Amino acid sequence: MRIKRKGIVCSMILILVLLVGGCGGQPDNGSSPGNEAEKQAGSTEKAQITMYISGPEQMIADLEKAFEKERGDVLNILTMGCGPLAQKINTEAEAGNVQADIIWGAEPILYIQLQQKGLLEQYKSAEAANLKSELQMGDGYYTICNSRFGVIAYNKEKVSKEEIPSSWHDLIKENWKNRLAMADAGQSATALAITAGLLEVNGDSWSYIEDLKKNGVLLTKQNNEAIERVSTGEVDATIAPHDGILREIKKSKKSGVESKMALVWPKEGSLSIQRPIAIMADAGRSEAEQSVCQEFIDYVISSEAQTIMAKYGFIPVRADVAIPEGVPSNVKSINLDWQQVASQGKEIRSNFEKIMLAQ
Amino acid sequence: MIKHAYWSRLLVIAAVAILSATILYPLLVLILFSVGIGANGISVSITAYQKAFTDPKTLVSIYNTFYVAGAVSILAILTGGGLAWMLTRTDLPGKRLFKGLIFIAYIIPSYVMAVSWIELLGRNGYVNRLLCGTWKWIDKPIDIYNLEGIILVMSIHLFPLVFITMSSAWRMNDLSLEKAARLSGAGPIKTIWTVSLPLILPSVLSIGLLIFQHTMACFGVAAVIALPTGNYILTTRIYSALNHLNLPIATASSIILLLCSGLVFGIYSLSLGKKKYINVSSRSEPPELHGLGKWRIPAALAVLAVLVITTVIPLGTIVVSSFLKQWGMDISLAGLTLNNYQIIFANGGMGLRAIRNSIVFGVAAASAACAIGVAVAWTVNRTAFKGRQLLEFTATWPVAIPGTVLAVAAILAWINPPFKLYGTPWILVITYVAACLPFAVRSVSGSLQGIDLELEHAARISGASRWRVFRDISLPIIGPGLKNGWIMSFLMVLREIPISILLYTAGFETIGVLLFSMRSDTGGLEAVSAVAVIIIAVTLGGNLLLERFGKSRMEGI
Repeated sequence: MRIKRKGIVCSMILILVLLVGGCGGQPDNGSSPGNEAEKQAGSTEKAQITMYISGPEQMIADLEKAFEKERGDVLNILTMGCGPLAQKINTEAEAGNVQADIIWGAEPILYIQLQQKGLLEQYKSAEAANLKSELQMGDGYYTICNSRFGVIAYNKEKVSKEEIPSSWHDLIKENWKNRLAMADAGQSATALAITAGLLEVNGDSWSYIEDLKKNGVLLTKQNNEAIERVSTGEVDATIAPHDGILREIKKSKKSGVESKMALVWPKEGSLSIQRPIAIMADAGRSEAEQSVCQEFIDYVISSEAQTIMAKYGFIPVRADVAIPEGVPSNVKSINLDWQQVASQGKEIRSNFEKIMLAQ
Repeated sequence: MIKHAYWSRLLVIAAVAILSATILYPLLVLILFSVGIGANGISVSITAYQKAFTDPKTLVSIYNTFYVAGAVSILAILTGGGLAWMLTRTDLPGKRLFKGLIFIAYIIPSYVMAVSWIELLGRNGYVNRLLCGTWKWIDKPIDIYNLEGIILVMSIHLFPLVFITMSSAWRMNDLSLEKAARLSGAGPIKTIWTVSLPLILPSVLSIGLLIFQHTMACFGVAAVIALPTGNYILTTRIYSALNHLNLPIATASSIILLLCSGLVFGIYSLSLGKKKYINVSSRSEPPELHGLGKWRIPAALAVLAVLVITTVIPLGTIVVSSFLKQWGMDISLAGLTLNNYQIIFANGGMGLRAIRNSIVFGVAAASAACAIGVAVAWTVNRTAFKGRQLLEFTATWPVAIPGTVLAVAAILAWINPPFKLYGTPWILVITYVAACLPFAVRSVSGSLQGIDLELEHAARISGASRWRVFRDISLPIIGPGLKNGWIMSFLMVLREIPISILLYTAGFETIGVLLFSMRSDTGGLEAVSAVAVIIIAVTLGGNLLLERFGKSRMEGI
């Protein structure tokens, strides 16, 4: 005796019906750890906002502590890498139900895409007037809260004095064959920005990237992996953001080992890469929560917060905060047109992958 | 034909229900989404699929994916299966030690395994430093950055899985058939080739398929070993699309992955369906061991050599690195520190919390997956419901999907009311269950396959209740498979990273989140090794506890 396929189909339908009652009811029954209940009960006295942040954890912890000192526990922070941050916020947006109140991390490219979809809320912080003029972008939809430079890091033990590169173009010389690493522009948005910067340095020609491939550049998934490979001597030099390199040097020092890494500020210019912060458009926030969001934006670009960030190697956005130790005061920088990078992102990525694909 | 009693129908309905909720529903949402049917309106288009299928890069990566998955399956089966035979059916000395080493090899997270192989075989790896630098045996360093590198690491990572499954299979083998062959004049080699091997073929194919699918969907190892030189596999393309917010392309590429995997599943089902394997296991005596004679010691040394290379050296690298001030530095007393462990536990209490949460989630997800696994395996192997093969395929396809895609599907599926689980720990548990199910189902199914119904029928005829039959006969039969499935599932949760990162909520961090945060610049690879050492210690400790208190009829690995 056999049950017809109908039986299975029927039971599937039955299940879906049951699920509506079953699973749907669960979070409200208090089996979830009080998120919802807390939000409702505490909305009058205690507002709490959710933030997705990508950045050094210790720095985020320092900022959270300082911000919550007077306000109490108002920040619900989830830390993650740039990649997961973009994936998470994008998936939420696609599902039409954004959960975060504030996102912070990654490059302006992500924010331009979100703004185009109408997902960012405009907030022009009064503090924003103190930003350096070239960093006043985003029209309040996003605010630049620190920046970093794409530079060269090399391993002091493996690179002789005469060989120390002074420019981007040194790296495509023959003596660097099989000694380089960089993050894959297909995998990392920061690497995409760096690639765009390198194109800019090279007069919009892909020959530079092709030469890097000819020199056997090793790709990594993330920038800090590329830095790690220099520090462990796996390769001799890398192209990566300066703040990660400075932190790696600092970390070695702290554990009592002299770091093997050193920085080069290439003479064509260092690639300036900004990191924005933004409030997500959300009709459902209470007034108290709304003001916490805005206060946090104000705080992040305040001189207090900027000083904390400078300690972790980031370039402050305000002229009245000193630049971090290890960064020369007169860095020549190459600035990117983010709107253009955002619109050409797909093409850049695809070209990059085509060049790097193993033959 | 078996009569479908009330309870067996109930079992099927329950299995279908849970599979629909945990696996079918999220995937359906994802697929609908990829063709333009989602929360933001309906605009059906298949451009993503056209693009994904016609991109020449896709073809190269499909080829690479098949090459890697095929080679890993073969290597893992040869190593794992061979070792399983030696350790269950011969009088090899040192079995306990060998079993322990193989188990440890399986606990090491694949990503950590890959990184430790780079520390050994990378351009500046310890081995290359010795061979090229100190000893000057070779001029050019050994290169690990290629597809063969992934094959090496993944085979080493996955052969224990084959070992665990095949050990049960070898143990379950009916010996009377082998004896009959020997009595009829066949030599030992001929007996193995014509009798033993065909008998365990279903298990070999079943675990081979799982390894194939699992390797196809793996990205962690490929990202550190093949990506560096531009050797892209399908998952590289999926991650690239995801990181640049192109969800439809990522989904379409995942569907390609699923189709490839479905193709292999189809071949597997066909190859099994034709023949009927009878593998009665009503034996009462322990298996007779093949005497290795004068080969006993050389064989033991050979096994030891294999395990030293695959387990002891990487394990040693990981343990030593976890005490180093800096990854890859020359090893000396002055370079040692306990700092890496301090970082983990200092981290605002997050380290301890993460370990506790992962254990709780792991126990919950593994138990749930195993319960469902029993229901599914039972339906597939013990009933005649139409479409029951489909049930098994449904339950096992998450293994063919990268973790990140599973997580994205879960977000899309569980974010909107009335199914709002996103933002609660439940979504983590549900997604872990989906990710564990393939291991649980395959493992239980493997132990049911080919085992005759006679025993159960005999018990029923003798008047035992259904429950009693299940408890006294069926459970002991599926016991080893169930235990293996549980351990595989539990370890999967313990080591998992992408699902955790995308779905965790504050206060419910997991080891995956911890690994990730150590990975980013707070700890570095030294701290990652320390986390790996903790995972190994926790698992070994748990296993010892289980063995101490759980001396039940279930036979351990």
